[in-house]
Amino acid sequence: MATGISYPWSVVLALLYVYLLVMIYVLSDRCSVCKWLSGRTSCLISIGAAFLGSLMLGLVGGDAIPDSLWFTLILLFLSTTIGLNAIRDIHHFRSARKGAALAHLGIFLILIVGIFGKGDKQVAYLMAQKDVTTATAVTSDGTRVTLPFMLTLKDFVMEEYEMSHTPKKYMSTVHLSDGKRGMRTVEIEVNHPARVGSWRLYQYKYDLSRGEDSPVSVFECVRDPWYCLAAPALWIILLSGAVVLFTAGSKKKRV
Amino acid sequence: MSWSLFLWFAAVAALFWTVAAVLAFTSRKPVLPAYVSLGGSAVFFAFIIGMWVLLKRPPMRTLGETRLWYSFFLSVTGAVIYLRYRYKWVLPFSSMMAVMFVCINLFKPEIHTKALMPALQSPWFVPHVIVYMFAYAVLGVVTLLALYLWAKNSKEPAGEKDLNICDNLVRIGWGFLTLGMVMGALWAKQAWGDYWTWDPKETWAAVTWLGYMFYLHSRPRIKNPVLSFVILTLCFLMLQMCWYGVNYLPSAQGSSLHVY
Repeated sequence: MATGISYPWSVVLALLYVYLLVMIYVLSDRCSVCKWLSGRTSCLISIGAAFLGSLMLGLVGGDAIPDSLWFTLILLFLSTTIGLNAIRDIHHFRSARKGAALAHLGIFLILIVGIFGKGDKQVAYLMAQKDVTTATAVTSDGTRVTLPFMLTLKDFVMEEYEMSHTPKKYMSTVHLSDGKRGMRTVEIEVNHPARVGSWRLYQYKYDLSRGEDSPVSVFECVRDPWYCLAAPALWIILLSGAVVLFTAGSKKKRV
Repeated sequence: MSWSLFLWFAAVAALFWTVAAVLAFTSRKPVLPAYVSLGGSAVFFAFIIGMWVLLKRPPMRTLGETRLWYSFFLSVTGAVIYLRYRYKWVLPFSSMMAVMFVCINLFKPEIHTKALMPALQSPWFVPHVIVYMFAYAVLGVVTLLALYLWAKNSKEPAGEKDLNICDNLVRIGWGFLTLGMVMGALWAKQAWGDYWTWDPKETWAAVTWLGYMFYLHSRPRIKNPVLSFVILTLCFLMLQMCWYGVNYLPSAQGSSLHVY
C-alpha cells in the first residue's frame, strides 16, 4: 500500500499523521477513543498484533506480507500507540523514564520512515564495463534510470583466501563525476559504499565466470532520502537500549 | 591453540563451574563461589582469545563459535547475578547451561575454519555478535528463573520481589537485544544499502524483541504471575528460532542473508 505514495505526498501525509496524533493527544481528556488509544490496553493490543504479524511473516516468509495492507495497518496502529506515548513522554518529561522515552521516540520515527517513506526509495543496478563511461542504470523491473552522475570503471580486483579459495575482497576503482564536484577517483568495496550527492553506490556483483579478470562490475545504486530521518532514529533507539540496560534495577518504575 | 585443545580448556572451566555450584550451597564465604565460577570463565575466555589469534578473525562466524561466547557469557552472567542478588540456585543453573553448550560443541561441532567473507569484514561485526550473545545469555538466565519460580509457585506463590528481578533482567536483555538489532541495521545499510528488509533472521529478531517488549508493558496489568512466566518462556522459544531455528526453517531457505 505505502509503496504507492511518493514525494511530495509522502511527506504531506506523514506530517498530517503526526499532526493528527498531537490532536488525539490533546483531546485524550475529552474523547474516549483518544483516551483509549493512548492507554495501556491499546498499547498491549498493538504490540501483540505486531508480534503476531511478524510471527506469521517469520513462518510463511516471502516479500508479499511486508507490502500488504494488513501488515501496514498493524504497523500504523503500533506507531500510533507508540507515537502518543512519545508525545506524552516529551510533554511530561521525567528523568527516571528517559530510557523508555528515547525508545518510544526512536521507534516512532523509524516506523514513520518505514510506513510513509517506502515509496521514495530508488534502487537501480549499474553495470559498468572497463573504461566505458555511463550514467544509465536499470531497476529490478527493467526500467532504465538516468543517474545524475557519470561512472567509469577503471579497475576491478578480487582477492581470495589462499587456503580455502573463498572470496576475501571485491573492490572496484571508479571515476565519478557530477556537475558539482567534477571528476574524482573512488574505491568501492563491500561494506564501503561510495556517496555521490544523494546516491550511494554499493559493490554488488562481477562477472562470475571471469572472476578476478572480470571486465565488468555491477553497482547497486540506492537513493533513500528518508534515511536522513532513519539514521537519527536508529541512533536514538541504540541510545535507548543502552540507557534501559544501564538504568535497569536502579529504581522501581513503570514501563 | 586449536579446536583439539578445546576439550582440555572446557574440562578445566567446567570443573571450576561445577565446584562453584557446589560451593554456593556449602561455602561459608558467600563471595567465594562467584570467584571460582569467574575463574572458570577466565580459563574459557583464554581459549576464545587463543582461537581469535589462531583464526586471525573473531571466532563468531559459525554456530559452534557463537556457542563459545554463549557459554562464556552464561557463566559470567550467573556469577554477576549471584554476587548481586545472592541467589544460591543461580550458579548451579548457569554452570549447567554453560557446560551443556560446551557439550553440544564437543558432540556436534559444526566448526568450519571458513575465512571471513567480505560482507562480514566490518567494525560492526564484533559488537553486533557479542551484544546479541550477551542478550541471549541474560534472557536464558531469566527464563530459568521464571521456570524455577513457576515450579514452586503452587507451594510458595511468587512475590513482587521475585517478579521485579525478572523485570530487571528482561530490561537488561531487551537493552542488549536493542543494541544488537540497531548495530545490525546500521551495518546492513553500509553493506547492502538497506537497514531493514524483513530478512527471515531480522523478522525473528523483531518477533523476539516485540515479545519481550510485550512482557515489560504487560506487567502492570497481569495479576497472575504464572501468565508472566508463560510469556517469558514463549519469548525464549522465539529467541531460539531467531538464533538457530531460522537455519532450518523452510521459508528462510535461500532468502536469508544470515544462513550460515
